[in-house]
Amino acid sequence: MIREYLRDAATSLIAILIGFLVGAIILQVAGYDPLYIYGSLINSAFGNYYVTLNTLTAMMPIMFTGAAATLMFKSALFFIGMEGQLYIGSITAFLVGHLLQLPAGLHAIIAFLAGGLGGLLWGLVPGYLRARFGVNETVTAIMLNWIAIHFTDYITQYAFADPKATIARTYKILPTAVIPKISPEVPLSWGFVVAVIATILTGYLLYNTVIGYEIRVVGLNPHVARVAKISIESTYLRVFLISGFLAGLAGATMVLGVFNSIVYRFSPGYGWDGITAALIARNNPYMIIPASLFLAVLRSGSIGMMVGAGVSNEMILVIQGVILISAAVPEAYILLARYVKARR
Amino acid sequence: MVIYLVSLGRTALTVLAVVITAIVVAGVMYAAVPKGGQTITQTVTVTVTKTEAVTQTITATQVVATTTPTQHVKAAVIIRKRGDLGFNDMAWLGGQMAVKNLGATVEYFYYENVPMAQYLEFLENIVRRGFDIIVVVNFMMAEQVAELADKYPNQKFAILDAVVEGKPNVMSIVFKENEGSALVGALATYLSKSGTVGIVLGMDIPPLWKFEIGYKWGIHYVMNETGRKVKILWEYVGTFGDPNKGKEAATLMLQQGADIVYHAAGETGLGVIDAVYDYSQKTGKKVYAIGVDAPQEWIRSGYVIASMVKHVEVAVYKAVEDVAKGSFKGGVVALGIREGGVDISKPEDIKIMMGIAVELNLMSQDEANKVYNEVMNLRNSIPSEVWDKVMLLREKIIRGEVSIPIPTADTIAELRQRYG
Repeated sequence: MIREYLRDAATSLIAILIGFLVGAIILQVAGYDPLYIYGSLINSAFGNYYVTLNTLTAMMPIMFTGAAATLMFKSALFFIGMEGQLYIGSITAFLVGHLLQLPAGLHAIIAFLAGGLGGLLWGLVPGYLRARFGVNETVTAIMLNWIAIHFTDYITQYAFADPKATIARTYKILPTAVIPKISPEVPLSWGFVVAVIATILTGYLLYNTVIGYEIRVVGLNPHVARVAKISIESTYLRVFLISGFLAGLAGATMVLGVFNSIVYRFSPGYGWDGITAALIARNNPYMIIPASLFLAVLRSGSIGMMVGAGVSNEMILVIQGVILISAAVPEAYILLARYVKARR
Repeated sequence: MVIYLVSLGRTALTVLAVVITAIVVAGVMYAAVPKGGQTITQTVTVTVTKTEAVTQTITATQVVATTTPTQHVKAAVIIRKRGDLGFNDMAWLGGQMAVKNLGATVEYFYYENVPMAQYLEFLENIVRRGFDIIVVVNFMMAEQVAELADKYPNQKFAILDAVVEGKPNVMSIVFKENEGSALVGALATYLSKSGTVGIVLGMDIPPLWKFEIGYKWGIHYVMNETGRKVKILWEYVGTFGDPNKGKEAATLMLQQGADIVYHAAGETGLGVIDAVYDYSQKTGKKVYAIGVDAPQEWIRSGYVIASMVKHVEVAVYKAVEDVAKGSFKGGVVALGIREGGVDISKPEDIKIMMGIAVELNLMSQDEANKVYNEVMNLRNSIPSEVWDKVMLLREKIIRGEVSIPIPTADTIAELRQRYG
C-alpha cells in the first residue's frame, strides 16, 4: 500500500519535472532566461510571508474542487462541472451573507453551508439525469457551467451590483458572515483549515466507510457492483451530491473569506484546477493537498511573475499548460496501456 | 503501431511524448514569437531616442521649467497596454517625459490580462517591489488603491480619472472635461453649415455631464456672440462598450440634419466616427466627427475635425514631478486648460501619435505620413479666423474671464433647461 503511494507520488513528481523542463525549452526559445523565470515563480509564491499566504489562499478552493473531482473520478464518472458549482455556491453563500441577519459566527457557518448546498443543488440536476436516465454527465456539466457563469455575471453586474464599487462586484456581505482571518494582518482565512479537514474527510469517506467502499466498487466495475447488490443509481446520486457540496464550498470560501462579495469572474479556473489536482494526485484525496499546493503556486505565482519578471501573462499560461499536460501524461499513458491490454 | 509503442515501456514513452510535444511547441513558438520576443529590447531603445524630439516639443509647450532641486524618483506607471494610440500610450509618454526631464526611473506594468478579482494582488505586488510613487491609470482600481493606501501609509499613489478621498498618500487627478468640451462646442458651432450639431454620450452619470454641459456651454457662447441660432441634438446611449449603438445614435442625428457630431462614449464613440464616415460616403454630404480623450483624428483621417484631448501624459508627469520636488500632496487635483490637462487637439498631438504608431509597427512610415497629411489638410481647410476665435475663447478660459459650470446632481436639471 505505502509502496503504491510512493510510486504514484514519484510518477507525478517526475511528470511535473519533465513539464518544467519542456517549459524551460519554450522559455529559452522565446528569449527568456528559464532559470530566472522559474526563480521568480518560486520567489513570488514563497518569497516572503505575504506571498506565501496568498499562495495558500489560492490553494483553499482548489482543495475543495480537487476533493470533489476525486470523488467523481473514483466512481468512474467524468463530471467536470465544478466550475459552475463553485459559482452557484458563491451565489448562495453571498445571498445568505448579504440578506440574512444572524449573530456573528453562526451567520458565517450558515452562509458557508448554504454555499455547499448551492453546489449540491447544481449537482442534483446532472446527477439525477445520469443516475435515472444515463444522460452523459460531461455534456450536462459543460452546459451547466456556462449557465452558472453567466448567471453569476448577471448577479455581479446587475442584480446585486454595488453602485459604489469601481470594479464589477456585488455588495459586500454583512460583517457577521465574514470568515475570520487566521490573524488580523494576514490575508489567509480559517476557510483554509476547513478545506484541509474537508479533503481529509473525503479520504476517510472513500477508504474507511461503507459508502466509500461502494463508490470505489462502482467505479472499478459497475457489473460487479450490481452482482454485489450495490445500487449504482443511488451511489451515483450520492457522489453527485457530496461532490457538488464540496465544490459549492469552494465558492463560499472565496466569497466569505477572501472578497467578501462576488467579484466578476473571480475564479481563474479553480473548478478546472480541481480536475487537474485529481489527475496529479492519482485520485487519492490525501494527495490532493500537495497537488493543490502545486497548482496554487502556478496560479498565485503568475501575478508575481508578471510584475517581477516582466513575463507576459500569455507566456505564463503557456508554461502552466505545458506543465499541466505533462503532469497528466502518466495518467493518459496508463489509460492507453489499459485500453491496449483490453484489446489484446 | 500502438502495441509497439507500449512495448517501449512507460519511461521511454513518456520521454517520447514529451520530446514530440516540445518539438511541436517549440516550432510553433519559433514561428510565432521571434518578432515579439526579439524586438522587445530593440523597440525600447529606438523608442527612447525617437521620443526625445517628441518630449522636447511637449516640454517646450506645456511643462514649465523649474529651478527647484529634484530628487531621484523610482516610479511605477500602471496602464492597460501599449499601442492603443490613445489614453494608454499617452500615459506611457508621461512616464518617458519623467525619465527625460527628471531623470526618474520608470517601470510600466500592464493590467490588460489581470482579472478584476486580482487587481488587489496585482497592485500589492507592485507596492511590495518598492516605488516612490505608483501612478494608476485605471479608474477601476480606485477601491484597491484606497485599501492599499491605508495598509501602506508610506506608499504614495496617484490615480487618474477617479477620486479617492481622505487619504494623505493618494493624489486623485481629474480633468476639467467641461473646459475642453466648451472649446470643441464652440468650434462645432462656428463650422456648422446646417445649424444643427450633435453629441453622443455613454452612460448618464455625473462624470459625463461635464462633457454634455461643457459642449452646450460652448455652443451657447458662440450663439450669444454671433446671434445665430443652432440646434443641439444630444443622446445618452447607456453604454461605453457598444460601437453599434453609437453608430445608430449618430446616424439618426446626421439624418436630422446635424453636420458635426461630438462624442464622449469610450468605445461606443468609435461607432460615431464610423457613422460620420459612412454617411459622408453614402450621401456625399460633408459631415464631421469630433474625437475625445485622445487625438482621434487618425481613426478616420479627413472625417474627424478635432478632438477634445485629455493630456494624460501631463497628469502622469505631474505626479512624478511632485514627488521629485518633494511637493507631493494627497487630495484631488483638477487639471483644466490652464494646467495643460485638457485642450483641443494640436497638430503636434497627432504627430506624436503617428510617431508611436510607427515605432510600434502599427503603421508604416508612409501610412503615418499619409494620415497626418490628410488630417492637416482638413485642419487647414478651416478658416483661420475660426481658429483665432476658438483660441480667443481658450485664452479667456485660461485667464478665468469665463467660467464653465460643473454640473452636479442638484444643478444638472437647471443647466439642461438653460442650455437645451
